[in-house]
Amino acid sequence: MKHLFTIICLLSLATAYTWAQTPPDPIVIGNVVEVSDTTYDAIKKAIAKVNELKTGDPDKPIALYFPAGIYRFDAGDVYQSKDIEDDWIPGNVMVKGDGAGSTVLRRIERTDRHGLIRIKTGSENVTITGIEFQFEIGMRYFRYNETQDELVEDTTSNVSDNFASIILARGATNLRITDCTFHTGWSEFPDIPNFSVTTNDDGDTIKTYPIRLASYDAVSGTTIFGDVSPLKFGGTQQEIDAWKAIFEPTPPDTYTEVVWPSQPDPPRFIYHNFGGNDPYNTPGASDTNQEFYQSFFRKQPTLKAIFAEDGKQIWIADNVFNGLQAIIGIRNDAGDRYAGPGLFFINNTSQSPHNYLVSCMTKPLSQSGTSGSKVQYITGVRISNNYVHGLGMTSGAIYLGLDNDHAYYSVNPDAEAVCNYIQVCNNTIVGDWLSVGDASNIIGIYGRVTKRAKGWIVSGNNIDNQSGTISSRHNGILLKIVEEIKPETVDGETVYVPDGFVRELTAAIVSDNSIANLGKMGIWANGEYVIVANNHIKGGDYGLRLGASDAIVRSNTITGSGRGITVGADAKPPTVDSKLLAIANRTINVGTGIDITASSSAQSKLQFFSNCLDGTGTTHYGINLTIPTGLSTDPFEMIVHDNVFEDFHADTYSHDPDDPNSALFKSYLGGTNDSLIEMP
Amino acid sequence: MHTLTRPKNTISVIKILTTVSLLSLAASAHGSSFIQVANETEAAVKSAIGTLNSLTEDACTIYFPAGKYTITTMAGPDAINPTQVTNLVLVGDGPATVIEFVGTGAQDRFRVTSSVNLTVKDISFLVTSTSNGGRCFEFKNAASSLSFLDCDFMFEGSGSIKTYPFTMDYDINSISIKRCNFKGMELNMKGSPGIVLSDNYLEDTTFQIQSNSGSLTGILIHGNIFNGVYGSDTAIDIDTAMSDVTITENQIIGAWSGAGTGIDITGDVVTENILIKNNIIANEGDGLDPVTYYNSTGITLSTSSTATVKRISIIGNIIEKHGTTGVEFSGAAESLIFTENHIMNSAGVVLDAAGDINAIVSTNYFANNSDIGLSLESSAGNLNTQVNANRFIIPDTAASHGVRVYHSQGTAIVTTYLFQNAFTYDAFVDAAITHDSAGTASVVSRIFDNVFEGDAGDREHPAAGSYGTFDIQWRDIDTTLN
Repeated sequence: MKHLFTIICLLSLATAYTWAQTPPDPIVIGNVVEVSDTTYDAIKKAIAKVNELKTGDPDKPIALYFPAGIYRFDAGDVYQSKDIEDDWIPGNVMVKGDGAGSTVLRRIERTDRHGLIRIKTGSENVTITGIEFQFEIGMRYFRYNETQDELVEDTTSNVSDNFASIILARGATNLRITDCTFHTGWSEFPDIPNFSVTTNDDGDTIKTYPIRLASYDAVSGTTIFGDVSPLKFGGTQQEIDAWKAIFEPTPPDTYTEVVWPSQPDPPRFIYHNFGGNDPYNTPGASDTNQEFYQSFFRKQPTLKAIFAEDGKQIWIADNVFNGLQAIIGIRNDAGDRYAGPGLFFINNTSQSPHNYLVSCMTKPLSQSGTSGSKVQYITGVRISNNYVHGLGMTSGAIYLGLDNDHAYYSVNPDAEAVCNYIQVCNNTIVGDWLSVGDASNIIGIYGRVTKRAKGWIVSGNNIDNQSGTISSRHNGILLKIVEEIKPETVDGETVYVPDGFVRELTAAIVSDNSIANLGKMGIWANGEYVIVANNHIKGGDYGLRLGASDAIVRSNTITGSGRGITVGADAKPPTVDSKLLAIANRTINVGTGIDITASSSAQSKLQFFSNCLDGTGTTHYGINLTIPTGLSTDPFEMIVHDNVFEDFHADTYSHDPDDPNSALFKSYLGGTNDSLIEMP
Repeated sequence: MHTLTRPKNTISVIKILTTVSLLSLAASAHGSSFIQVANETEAAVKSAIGTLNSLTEDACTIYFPAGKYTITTMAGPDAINPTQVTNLVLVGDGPATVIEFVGTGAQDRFRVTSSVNLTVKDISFLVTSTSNGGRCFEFKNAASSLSFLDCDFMFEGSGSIKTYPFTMDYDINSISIKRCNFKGMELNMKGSPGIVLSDNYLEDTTFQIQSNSGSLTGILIHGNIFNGVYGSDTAIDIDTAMSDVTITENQIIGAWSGAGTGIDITGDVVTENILIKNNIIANEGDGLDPVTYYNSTGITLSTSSTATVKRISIIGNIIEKHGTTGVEFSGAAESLIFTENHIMNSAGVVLDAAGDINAIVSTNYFANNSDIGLSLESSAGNLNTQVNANRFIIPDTAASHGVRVYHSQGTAIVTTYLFQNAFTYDAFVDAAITHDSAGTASVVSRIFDNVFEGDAGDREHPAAGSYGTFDIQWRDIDTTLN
């Protein structure tokens, strides 16, 4: 009897243990499936129930309900890969929480498959609403560069972008993602603080960073913050060993958090246990002490809030993105790819997006040209009424067109990348833009022209770095036709030549935008039939830049830029003719009024009527004309009629009639052009 | 995976409600103003409506949990006709709540016979037959507020595309439809003041606005994407006297199936304050052919010759591939601004003064059109136009004028100031600028400082007609100074 009692007790304990380890089944009421607790296993059970209820009736409508609570995803808590999808959410489903802040899905450990919500490929009729998504591992990866004696961000961290998403929905039709919040600690990462330099008793230099350490208890799931402790570089080996000892007791598979101080709600950054125990194969990490000190922060550079590719009738609206990116575009898999019409990215709010807040891209080929699809077609996109505050590293707000790494048509000249009918209107992109880091540009709105693009309207946007540090990497609106270069071997040496494939942007309107406090470019717009009108531009090396375009430029104001209006072949592609009708523009306190570079391989037909150009003194010309060497055809004709030039170089016009190339130019300065020169 | 002590979730209000609902086979009220439809049966839906109609509170929400509700008959007593409730919300679980109307009777739909203010959110409506008029809702009384948010209205029947989600016997004061999805519908609205249609996706759907009271005021059509225009229908059709109409940032694209029209506004007695800005109206046809001219029209505005028409602005639109007309304005306009538009691969723009028109045409691209780029015509009224800062790219086709000033009859005055425009052409067969007349017009034109670029041709054709009086002065730019 005693043994029986013992057995019963053991069985009870076992049952209790099993119960403790196994979440209860989801609650099913009618067609509403409710997740039974906040574990990943409970979520999987609920999704399995959704799929089970659809057995025999795939169109059966089901609601998947996440009650208020914090749902935790650890490293092993991943859904199946894209080739299986059995545990993904099907179509005709509403995924709903009790509102961002109440229902929280949180990934606390990095994994190759991040997705917290995964919709089966090709699903129709899905809504996701009222959920907050958190990633605690959004981190940046820095190295201590001994040569520069400073922390340098490593942007080459080799983290796969496969499945690096929070919501993954590919090929979806009639998809709404609304009233959700996406958050990582990445967004509030401050500028790198300056370290303090001291000398120890032995005369060794010690650099100290004000970093606070914290310990993460993986069992309890809590974080214990320590006092502010200096993170040191240099010093004696004894000091290094003492510092290292802070970290090394941490066993494998756990980690220590490092927190920047002086933040009201500081983001947390996780220090991984290096010294051979790096579970993620951090580039550069090894067992050596030197590497230990060189690699202590990890970056997740490619994390996406949403992948919504190859779909149509998609609304991403009224969400909050905190340091994350959304993709509405096209996959780079083999086969023809189509997205849209009906891609809405509207009324969202973002803080410091990493990479671009929203990207709508074609990716016709891989850079090597050995993979990717041949035909890609995006049409019917609206990106409007979004608010973006603060742009971070290598980023911008809105990215359209051709993906940077997929431009090599020369590998497959039959490839098509079409991006038609895009509206980017009434977005507010403001705040302090990051001014440190690598050489990448930060761009408010970037349209990188696909092989064929037409019907783009960029209007009513407010782009302002406000009081942030002005950097030469800051750009407002770029609609660029980029002629890629490709390597060729000539006489045994590698040379780079244009790929020669025409990219077209037909019918673009850039109007009513306000751009201020950027260091490099206000507006760069080139294409065929481009209207640039009623824009305000303040500052920058370039105010308004037309590359090789057929454009009307009218009624823009440009204040304090290095160049007012720039035209010609200095911008790619040099082989396309330039035609410009510039009327009634106003520059105020610019360097050069109009800067023109003639092309040796294309014609320019330029007309300037009734502009009022105001410079800053006698150094720069009202019109500065650069004639390339080797000009041999009849490339250039310019009419400058009824303009006012004020406060420029005494000659106003840099063109020298005695220049041997002058016979190739037809320049007409007519009407009532005035040159009001203030001589020293 | 780490072993963690994880907090259990809290029990939600919805959970309590849904649990309670299992205890009742009929609709049940939670508190005094929340009704959850108990199950997917038609009886449960009618029971919920019955409960609503008997409530004594002034506000109520009816919740349709996920499921497919099939409505066959909705007799008169099943109408939404509460005695006390004046503010009603119908809410579902988005695409997981499907209400299908299969009945054939004229009343077999949601009938709102009281003047209740109504919000409908997160419900997918499905119509598979047009035999009940194809309608989901019928409004039999005036109301002051009507909102449809995040809903689907899908027609999946065969035969005629004519099916209407709503019918309205009275004007509704303030109608808002946002982020909805329409397919195969003709969306007919009657309301004033205040109609808002924004951020919707409409496939083969006509949005028609009419009025029972004879006039409309306050219309905002913003940010919608129309995919395709069915047959000879119109995507946005406003057909009455009106004022304060804003049509902005819409796309009317896709492959149109016939000779349809993108935006059609027919004003009557009074038409004023009309803004059409930053829309894309393109008949893509097969989508990849860049030059085909399709038998469609981009924008049509027509008023009577005696109408009071003021402040019409058409700004920043892209209009492409409309072989009938790109933009046609016919009637009278005290002030018309046409700026920063692209008119491409179409039959150009026509301003036809049936009454008097005063217009500014500036900063537009007229590119590769199959007919006259800009036709300034007077069929009866005076036409006073300023044409400045436009680019004309004229293809090598017949009748490919850049600008044509034409008068057909009457004794009106046609005055045109055409300056600082640029014309590019390739061996055209007709003039870049031409004047013509079949009437007795007094034509006054000043053509100053324009730029002509291209092969030799008859760039300025001063007077092809033989009627009327012409006073035309030309001044070219002095290009002798290098």
